[in-house]
Order: sequence, then C-alpha cells, then structure tokens
Amino acid sequence: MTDHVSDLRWDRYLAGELSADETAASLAHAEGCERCGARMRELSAGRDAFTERPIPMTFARAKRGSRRGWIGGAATLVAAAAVLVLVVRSGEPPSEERAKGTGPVLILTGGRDGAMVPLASGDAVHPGDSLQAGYSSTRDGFGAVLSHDGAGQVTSYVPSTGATLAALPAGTDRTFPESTILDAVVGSETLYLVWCETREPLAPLLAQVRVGGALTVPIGCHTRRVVVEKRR
Amino acid sequence: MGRGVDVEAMYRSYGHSVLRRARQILANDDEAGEVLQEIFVGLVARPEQFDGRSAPSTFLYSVTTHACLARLRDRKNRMRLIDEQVRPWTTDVDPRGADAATIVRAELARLPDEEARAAVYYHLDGMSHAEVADVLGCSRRHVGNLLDRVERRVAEHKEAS
Repeated sequence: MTDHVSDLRWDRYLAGELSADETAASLAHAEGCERCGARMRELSAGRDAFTERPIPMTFARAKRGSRRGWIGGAATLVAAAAVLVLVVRSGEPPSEERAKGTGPVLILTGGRDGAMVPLASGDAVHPGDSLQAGYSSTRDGFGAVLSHDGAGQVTSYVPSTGATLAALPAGTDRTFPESTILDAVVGSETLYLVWCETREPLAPLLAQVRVGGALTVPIGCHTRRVVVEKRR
Repeated sequence: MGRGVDVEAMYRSYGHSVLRRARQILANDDEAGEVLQEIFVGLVARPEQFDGRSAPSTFLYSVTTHACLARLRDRKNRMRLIDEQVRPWTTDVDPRGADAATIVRAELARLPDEEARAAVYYHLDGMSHAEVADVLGCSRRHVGNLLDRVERRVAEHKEAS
C-alpha cells in the first residue's frame, strides 16, 4: 500500500469531487511531500493544457470505435458528432498537425538483452539500453527517429546517415531499419518518431527538434514524441 | 441519471485524465486518442452507462482501464514487440515509479482481467488498497489477494522464461 496521494485522488480534487476535509488532507500531504506536490502540479498542468486545447474528435475516427459496439445507429452517430463539434470549436487547433484518416501506428521500445518493452513518456531508460522504433502501416512511407538528449545534443538515430527520411515499406509489426544503443549521457531525452507519405528532408525536422516541443510537419506526416528519463 | 449526463462538460473536466491514463497504460499516443474518443462518443450514444452511483472520475477510471486492457490483449504484435523475458519483478518497486510502470505495462496483457485492473490501479495510478477496492467494487482483502496473485504470476512467468 502506498501512503502517497494517488492519481485518482488528484483527479477527483481537480474535478471538484473531494470534500473539504479530503481536499485539506490531500493538500496538507502535498505540502510536506515533494513527490506528491510535483505530481499534483503535473496533473493540474495536464488538465489546463487539455482544457485550452482539447483533442479534436472527428466523425471518421468515431466510426472506428463502432467495431467494439460503442456506437449505435446512424442517428446516434450524428448526435455524437454534433456534441463533439462543440468541443473542437472550443480550442485552438493542435500545434502538432496530423494527416486526416487512419495513419500508421508508431511504437518505441527499449531495454536490453532481448527484453524490449514499449516506452511512454516518463519511463526510465539506462545507458547501454537499446532503443528500437516500430510501426504498422497499410501504405509505404518514410520515417525517422530523432533525439534531443540531456546534454542538448540533437541526433538522427534513424537514418544514421543521409539527408532524407528512411524508406519504411508497408506492413504490420515492422521495425525501423536501425536500432540505437543509448550512451552514458543521463537526464531527460526527447525522442521523436516521424512517419511521412513522402521522402521529406531531415534538416527542417532536426531544426525543430533542437528547439523542442511538438513538431510541425507537412500534410501526410505523423509524429510521436516520447520523453524518457535516462538514469544510471 | 444516465440521460442527464452532460458529455461535453464531462469531456472538458475529465478528458485529460482519460487521455493521460490511456497513454500510460498503452504507451501509444495514437491508440490513447482513440480510447478517449471511444469512451466519450460511447457516452453520447449510451449515456445510461454512467448511472451516477459512483463519482464520474471513478466511472471513467474503470471504463478507461477496461478499454485499454482490451486493446492490449488485441494487439497482434505485442508478443513480437514485447519480449517474453521481461525485466525482473520486485516487490519493492516504487508503485508510481517509472520502472514499475514499465514492468506492469509489459505484463498486463498476460494477466486475467480482474488482476490486470488491480495492477493498473495499484502500480500505475498509485492507489491504496482501499481506493482499488472502491473502484473494483470489492473488499480490501480481495484486492490484497489479487495483487498477491499478480506478483506470483509474474514471478512464475519469469522463472518459466
């Protein structure tokens, strides 16, 4: 059992669901607990960011969900679209533009000695770990894995040479053509997985990686950003 | 209560939480976005899903966990991308630490549903046994049993691999 404040409790706090006593107890704990205080601020910032820029919900993507029986008839779909349009209009477009329709699935795995696991932002990695990007796509495309490490170094892991994105043939459960062994530089490392319909030049992407934040990419491109903590 | 659900307001208040947890469980931004959509479009279509007997946050934790676990089990490529030899499982892993999240995520698709949900709530969300019991609708003792079983299964799997 953990003595810390759970994410559920912070989510309930942010939604105004906690009683006055529960709120006071949670905030009092956070004042004396660096980890819980940081987590509360992190979740609060995530809530604020989502409120300012809610993820657009589209009819086309809603239909994909119907495979699991979430959605009823056509009238219901229209109603769903009408409500969610309000959500879309409430915020600015996302800074990270994505192509419409079904894009590739991009995944980043890490580990060593053959024990590779999927990585998400916040996960820990270690010097010497391997990084391998994977994808599933119904179309041929081109891709890259770019990094901005704790020392401020910007690197193209894939492709390791050349000035344009690497070819990625269509397929399921494919891997990017090269993997990477992490060096000894510790700290936060931001990794960008990029997939594009056309063979785009690397230089504009690397320039954006150097600045940080979400990438603005041409139509037909999809990106995924993962921030990992490299620890000894 | 279901017919009175204001899905748009719920999306604004809780969408961030659903998306964050889906990302954490699935380790995939695109799929997390799809889960977010599934859940809220599903609520528009079938508002009676939320009957108001629990807090909205508790309800959304439950449906998000269910949706993500279903996707993990459906991933055709998971066995290829997740090697059978997972990192060592230890009982002294920080429940909210990055290492614990990585280990738990790798194991979820292999666990029975109730154990997988308990593991998500305890190890990824940092809930206490009492909170897990509340979300699962069971006793604290049962939660303890579930987490013990998870630990044994992982240890057995590791020995067998």
